[in-house]
Amino acid sequence: MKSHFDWRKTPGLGPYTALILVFLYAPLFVLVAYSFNAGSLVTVWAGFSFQWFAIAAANGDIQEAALNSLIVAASATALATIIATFAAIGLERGPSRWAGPFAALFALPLLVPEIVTAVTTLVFFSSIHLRWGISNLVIAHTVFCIAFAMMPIRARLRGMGDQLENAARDLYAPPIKVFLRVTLPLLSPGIVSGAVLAFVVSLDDFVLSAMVGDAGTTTLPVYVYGMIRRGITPEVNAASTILLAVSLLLAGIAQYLNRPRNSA
Amino acid sequence: MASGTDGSGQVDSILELSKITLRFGATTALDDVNINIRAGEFFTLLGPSGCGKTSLLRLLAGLQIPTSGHIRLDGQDITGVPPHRRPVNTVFQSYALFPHLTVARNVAFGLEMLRWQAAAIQKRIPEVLSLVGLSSYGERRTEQLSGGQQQRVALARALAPRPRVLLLDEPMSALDLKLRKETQQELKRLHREAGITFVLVTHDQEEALTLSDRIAVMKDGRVRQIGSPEVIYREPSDTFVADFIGEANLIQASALGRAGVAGLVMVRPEDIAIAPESDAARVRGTISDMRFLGGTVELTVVTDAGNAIRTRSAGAAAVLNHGQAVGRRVGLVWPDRAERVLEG
Amino acid sequence: MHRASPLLLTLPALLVIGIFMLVPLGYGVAYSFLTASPYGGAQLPFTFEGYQQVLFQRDFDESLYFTTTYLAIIFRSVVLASAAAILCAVLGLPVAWFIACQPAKWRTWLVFVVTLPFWVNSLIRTYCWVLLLRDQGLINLALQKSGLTSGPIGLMYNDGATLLGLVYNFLPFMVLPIYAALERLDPRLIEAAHDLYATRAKVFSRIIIPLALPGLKAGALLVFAPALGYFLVPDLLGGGRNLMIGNLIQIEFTSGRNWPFGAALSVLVTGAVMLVLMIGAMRGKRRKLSDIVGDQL
Repeated sequence: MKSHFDWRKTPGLGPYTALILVFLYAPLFVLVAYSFNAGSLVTVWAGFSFQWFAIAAANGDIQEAALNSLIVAASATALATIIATFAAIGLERGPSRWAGPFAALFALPLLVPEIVTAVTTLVFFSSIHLRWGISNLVIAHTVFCIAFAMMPIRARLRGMGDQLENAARDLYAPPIKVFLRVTLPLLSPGIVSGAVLAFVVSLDDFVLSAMVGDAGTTTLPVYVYGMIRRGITPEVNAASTILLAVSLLLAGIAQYLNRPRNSA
Repeated sequence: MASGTDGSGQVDSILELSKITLRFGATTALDDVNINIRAGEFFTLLGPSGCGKTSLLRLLAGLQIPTSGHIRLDGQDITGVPPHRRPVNTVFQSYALFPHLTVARNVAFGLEMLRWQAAAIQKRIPEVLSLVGLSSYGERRTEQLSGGQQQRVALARALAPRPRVLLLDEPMSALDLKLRKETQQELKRLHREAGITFVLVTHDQEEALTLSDRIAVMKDGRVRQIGSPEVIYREPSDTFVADFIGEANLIQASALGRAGVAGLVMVRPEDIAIAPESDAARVRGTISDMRFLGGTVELTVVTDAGNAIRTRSAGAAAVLNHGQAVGRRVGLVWPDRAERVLEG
Repeated sequence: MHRASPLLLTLPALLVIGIFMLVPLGYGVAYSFLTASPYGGAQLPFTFEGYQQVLFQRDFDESLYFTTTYLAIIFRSVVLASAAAILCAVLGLPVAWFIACQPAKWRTWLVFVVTLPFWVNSLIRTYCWVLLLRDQGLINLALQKSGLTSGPIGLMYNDGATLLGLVYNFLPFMVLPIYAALERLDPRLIEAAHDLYATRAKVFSRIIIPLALPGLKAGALLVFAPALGYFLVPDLLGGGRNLMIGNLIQIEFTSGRNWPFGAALSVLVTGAVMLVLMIGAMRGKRRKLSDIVGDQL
């Protein structure tokens, strides 16, 4: 034997993993590359250019859709994160008898197929004649985002344990001070992670927005879907690449936020 | 003098626990606990894990409400008073230092909650930090400290508001042996200097004997005995206490030929001496094992009646020729006062 | 007394999810028993028509006849979702093991690299495959340029394309739980097995796979459950003739205008997903699915 045996180094596993990473990333690179194509034909490479980004950015419909997406995502994130924070504290610090059933209820939006959530929400809104335009979308997204926002917050609460809060109570802090001076500061990384996750989930959503939304509340994914349906153009690629870039930026933020926990 | 039972000292008791019972569903964590803790004393709750000592401490801190019974502090009923309204502070088992605050801000926390004047807080922080020997550590973050230092910050934080009673929940369990010895001395000094009543929870009988003015030995949610370390050691009230505190030989009274005495006779190993196999010996037997423990030698003697009795003495090595001890027949003697008859 | 108040904090979430999730699901169930109204929506009387339509269609003379149209779609959904779960497991297990074998510092980054594409909008991720697979797509262009084929070959609009899309979308859901299981594995077990004369292959089949099993099960649930009712992938890659249940539901609520039938399909697919998840949750160490999901994100 030339080198000593190391069970951690299975021959071929490294290249295999690299291959899987190529499978995961190559399609994304193709999209990004296409979006910088100067030509008006998607398939023929005609040099490097930013022109399709400029065209996409100047498209009034895209601007409106992007604004809608931003409004919905920001509102749903804010609402869902606040609601999820309180609910997470209730679940982790309240009587454990109720934590199980309540947690199952809050996880419902994760378990029910998205298309079913979308159509039943549509049925419900139309039955009670709720026509609040973009607010309809905000409500639907909030429900969905609560479950996602709650996950990192609950995990953080569980990791913290209740001893620090007990210590604060022991040192004469009334409940509101315990929350503001101890729980909230220590929970904040979890809350920010939850908010980022909620924001990403809201931006990612297509099915719910497509079914529940109407002509005036088209979000960016819904608009891009429509563009794809009408035909593949460099403009679609540019718009898609913008969405992709936003997603990756948020993923980077989330990873950065999680770093201290990983190193600990 | 102080007997094993409580009930004296109504006048100077600071904490009175009467008829405390705590149940979680079907399990009973504490069962009819009655303890009076005197002002200024170092009181220890001692027992194996699961005996209810930590539950009792949580009741004193207000983190738990008893199912029934009353807790009085300075004569006032505080049974249902929330933790932030009772002048009692805790040193938590894993210290529970606030990781987002510096050492000084940790110490100041309770004072701020009590709305002390800023100037008074600024004066108090260095006071308590120097009390625990951490004067220059105020601006450090808590995770930069060693285990021993964190423990001292926890002490300083709990002492800063000048509580009536300081509760310590196994504060030394996370420290290594050497540090633990040092910290024990430190605690004793702090107790003297602060002049506050300390209530310590521990499962370490040696720690309890070293530190305490009085000890309550607990088992299965009940108090088995309350008394000074000497009383607990010399006059255990039952076989559990005798066995849990130090080492004890428990010999059937009948095996010693005591007519009319029922139960077990307890003798501590260090009270038993090796003697020639004569009529003067209380029991006779064969040495079955010998362990050299450095300063002392421990012998196990199997008596003719079949009991294994352990003795420990410094002199044994001199009396017996080292290698040939095992298998020799000997007699065992001890003075009457070393005996205590316990119910089986 | 102190313990009751924290529960009140769950009230907003209970209200929001109760009113806007639970009640709509109730509406869905109710609609599945109603009669379709000709312009969309539904009306009384209560019938089982919605469920009946899964298996039977009404002829012009109002008589019922058995049809496999919808059964085939349900069957395809189950097969494709199962195939996606199996394929993800086969592809993902070696990746998870490779990551688990790396030094701690690298592991965090590898997990990040594997999960990063998952953060990208699922519409965009699926669209990327359209760019690759369509007739004028990159793969067909490359094949023709290299002279392997003379014209475009149909890579899209078949079940294979749908399966590929599902695997691409859900692979991280499989890798992460397996990795979580393997990361906790005591290295001394591997060393002990090698010490007892096991080869690499034997260690993999006798030690690693059995210990990765809880992760594999969790991963299978996390892939199968969302894949079963997935909409975008079959819509963009499968095309109109290769529908899955999700597309059928969408059609019935839009152009099909048969809300009771769509609602009945929704009840069926939700029931199936819940059943699978409950069985999985009961068998796997009594962990709640929300915990399993929670670990991953």
